[in-house]
Amino acid sequence: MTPSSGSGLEVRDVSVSYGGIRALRDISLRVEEGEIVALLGSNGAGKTTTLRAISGLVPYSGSIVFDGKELRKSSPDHIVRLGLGHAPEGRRVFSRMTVLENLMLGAYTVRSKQEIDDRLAFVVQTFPRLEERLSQSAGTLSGGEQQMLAIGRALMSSPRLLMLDEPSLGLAPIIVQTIFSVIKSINERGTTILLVEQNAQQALRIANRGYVLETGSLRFEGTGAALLENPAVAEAYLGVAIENIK
Amino acid sequence: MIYAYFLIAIAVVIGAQRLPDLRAKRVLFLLLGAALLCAPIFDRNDATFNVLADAGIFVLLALGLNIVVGFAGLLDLGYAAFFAIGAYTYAMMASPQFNLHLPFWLLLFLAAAFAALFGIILGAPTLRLRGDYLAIVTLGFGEIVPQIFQNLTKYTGGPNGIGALDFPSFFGRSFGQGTIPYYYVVLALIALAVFFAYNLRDSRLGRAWMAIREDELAARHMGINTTAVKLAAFALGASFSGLAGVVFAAKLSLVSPDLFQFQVSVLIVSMLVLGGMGNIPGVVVGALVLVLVNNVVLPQANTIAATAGLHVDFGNYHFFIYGAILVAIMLFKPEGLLPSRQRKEELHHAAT
Repeated sequence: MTPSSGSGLEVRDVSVSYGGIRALRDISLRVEEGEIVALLGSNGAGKTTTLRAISGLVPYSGSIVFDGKELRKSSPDHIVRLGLGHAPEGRRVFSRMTVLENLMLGAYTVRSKQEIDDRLAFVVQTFPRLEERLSQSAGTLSGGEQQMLAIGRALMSSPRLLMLDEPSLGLAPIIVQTIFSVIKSINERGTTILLVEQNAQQALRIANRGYVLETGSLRFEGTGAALLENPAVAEAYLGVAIENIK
Repeated sequence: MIYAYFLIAIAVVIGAQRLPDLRAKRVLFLLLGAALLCAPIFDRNDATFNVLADAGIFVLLALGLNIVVGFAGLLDLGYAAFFAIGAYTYAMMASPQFNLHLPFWLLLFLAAAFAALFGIILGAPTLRLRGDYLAIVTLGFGEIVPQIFQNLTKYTGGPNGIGALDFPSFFGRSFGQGTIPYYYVVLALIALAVFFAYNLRDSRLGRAWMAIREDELAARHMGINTTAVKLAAFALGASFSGLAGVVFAAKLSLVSPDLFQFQVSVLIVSMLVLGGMGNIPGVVVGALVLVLVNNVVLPQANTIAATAGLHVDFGNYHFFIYGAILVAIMLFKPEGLLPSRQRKEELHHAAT
């Protein structure tokens, strides 16, 4: 079935080279409206590059279609306007600005005051911790709070598809749990999610489907449960012994 | 007497910064403005207002460069080029050079527009550069522009420049030789520039500048068109110095390439560093302090030395003196005399 109108994303035969070195080789994947799709793989497998290509931040060959529109000729700011939010790798909050200023920058593409207020209400409802810290400078937040801010900031532009690049990176296990349950709840309230992770178990538990990348190429794809149960995937790419999963 | 003007202005700007109440701040600035407006009624010393008008021109330049360096974080070491473009606009269009005698007020607008246009032309090739690399390229532009004016002898008078520029007139009354009319023009332009700078800072564009200053990649993730936003910084920053250039040329009634050398760019950057990059009252104070040192303290030191029978020209040591001031600032207050909140945090809490 083809994705219904809105937030469907289709990546077709996308290749990216950095100065002669192929970082991505003919990647094809799709995210359908309302899904959570996990993109897994070890360091250097091309996960971040895939997201950057989708956001228009690196040049690529192939085709990426979002909501029926070809993105290849679009600038990064136009892609945000089309409804693709991207919380970057390593959080990259504006550490010298306050939490509120960070969120306002997230709403940079939104012109309507009313819509900004609505989005802010949505974000603080999603992350009550941020509401307590709105006037605090972002650099003083804990790692988990910064991740919440990075996600909150990406949500401010009302994305229909939200891309998250390793939201669990460097966080304590208990915070990781919180972040993943929030991701699930954001999805349940209508935002399609493409999740890049190294923490494969956690990601596949909330994902509808997943893709596994290895050195720039797609190796496996399937439903979250199927990938979790696939011993080859678990052994080779998820870095966990099979016993631990069960 | 001249010290009183500088010290009062500096004290008011610093004092206002400490007031928590916005309304009290505004009242204080209005009082300062009123005092400066009335000053020529009581004090008819042309030399005083000549120095004050020069100080005002540098305040304008500092406010303009602050948009590029302070707000957008693009280190520009060739800012004097736009000052030169403003000055030559007036010189070529209001002088016997081409027998064009366009009115001063029209040329203010034209020069601001020209400078902005050149801001874009010179800014465009530097868009992919940051930090040191950007500084080097802008430094190059700062050298090229006066060289061009120096060598296009047919149009610009070459190394001799253009002289006998028209006196501006206001409703039919010529400014003449006096300096007080220029002083008023400069005051009005500063008021305008400060108002404009505050509005820019708090605008959507201002927030975008802060974002690219902090993290350009993150800014792109937010949907900020970094190309457009950087060019806007170059253009708007340059337009301020276009205005300053016109007033400078008209007041001096002369332009020549050596007035816009690299030292001028360095002086303006030093004003920002000294005062507090990114903070509007800060850069005003920085400009006033350095003009005070350069145009008042050093000449006076010369006179004192001469009466003591010493023949030294302290003007020759001005870079040494700026250097000493800047080193002292870096040691004791690296964020500048009046820093912005972000800048303070940047230097006192190491980035996480």
